[in-house]
Amino acid sequence: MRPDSLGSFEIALLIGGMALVTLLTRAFFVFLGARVQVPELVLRAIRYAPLAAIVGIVAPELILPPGAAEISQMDWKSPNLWGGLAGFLAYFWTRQMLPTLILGMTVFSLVRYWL
Amino acid sequence: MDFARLTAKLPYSGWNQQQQSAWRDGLKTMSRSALAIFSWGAVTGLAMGKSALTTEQALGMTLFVFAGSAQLAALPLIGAGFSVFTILITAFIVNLRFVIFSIGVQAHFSHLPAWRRAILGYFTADFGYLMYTSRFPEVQAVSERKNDSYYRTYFMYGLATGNWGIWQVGSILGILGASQIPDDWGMEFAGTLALIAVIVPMLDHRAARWAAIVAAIVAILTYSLPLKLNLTVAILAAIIVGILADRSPKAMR
Repeated sequence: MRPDSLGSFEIALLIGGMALVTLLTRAFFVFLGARVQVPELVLRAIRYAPLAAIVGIVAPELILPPGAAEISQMDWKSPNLWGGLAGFLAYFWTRQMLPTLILGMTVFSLVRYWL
Repeated sequence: MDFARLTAKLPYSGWNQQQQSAWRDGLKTMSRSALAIFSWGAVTGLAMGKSALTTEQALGMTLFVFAGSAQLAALPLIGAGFSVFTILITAFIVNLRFVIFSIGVQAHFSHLPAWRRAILGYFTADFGYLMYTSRFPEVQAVSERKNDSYYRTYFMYGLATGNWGIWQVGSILGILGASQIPDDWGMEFAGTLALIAVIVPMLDHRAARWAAIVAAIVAILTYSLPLKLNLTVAILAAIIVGILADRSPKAMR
């Protein structure tokens, strides 16, 4: 273990702290209390927030090559790009998860080894 | 062992018929995305298993923290020996999107005592909130909630149970299997693929498609931002599109 790495007590503290962070963020407006009335407009506005969150997680992983930090590193030979496209088409046709995973992973691996 | 007496202590057996079927409904709804949640859990578990954490520490982290993206963000920082406080701030910022979701949790479940709402919030991750709001987009009037035995609340309990359970199975298998799986299989891509099957069915009307396209473009363009802030920026952009979609019902729907 390196001298500057975290000890087991600090890791335990970190795990407890991160659990509290999960609670604090996911119940943030609960803790603000009932005095904060959420207007109907706000509720309607955040309707697409969960969809946007998952799209925001997936899109960069599909479009950018593995390990890329920004858009300028985009590469047409990226296995993610073609594997993702194959997975998208597979899901579009079959509406099922398994063909999506199998076709996507196959194209991903082919591009990775031969392009 | 007296199984009946044991199960009588579970909250489930104290619920009425309608509440029990609401819970099962939620569990069933969540299990339709089981493969996606499982793969993301497994990918996160694999990453933890291959990190500087011991197996016990990784198991503790998955069981208590239950926030995949924050865990993934914390791993390199733990490896590099950043301070606990710095990593906690990072986790908070990576989790910012949940602050937005908590507005909805507060409004939809305002009839529950605050501590129950807080616990329910803790268990409401991306999938749970996504599925709840796609099934029940509008907040139910408080007066109507009692009439259906709080169906939506028990539905949400079912979603949370499924989400937590499936995620933990994937994550624990990932942690335990990390030493068996070589680094170069590209298994993390399976988790990304699985999410395609969650996203595509949600794009069933124009406003959702606009929000998704904008979120995708913004998340990619701002990917170089630190602390996964691109996610928060993408959500804010999608919110603006959502408002515009609301304002011009004919053009966007």
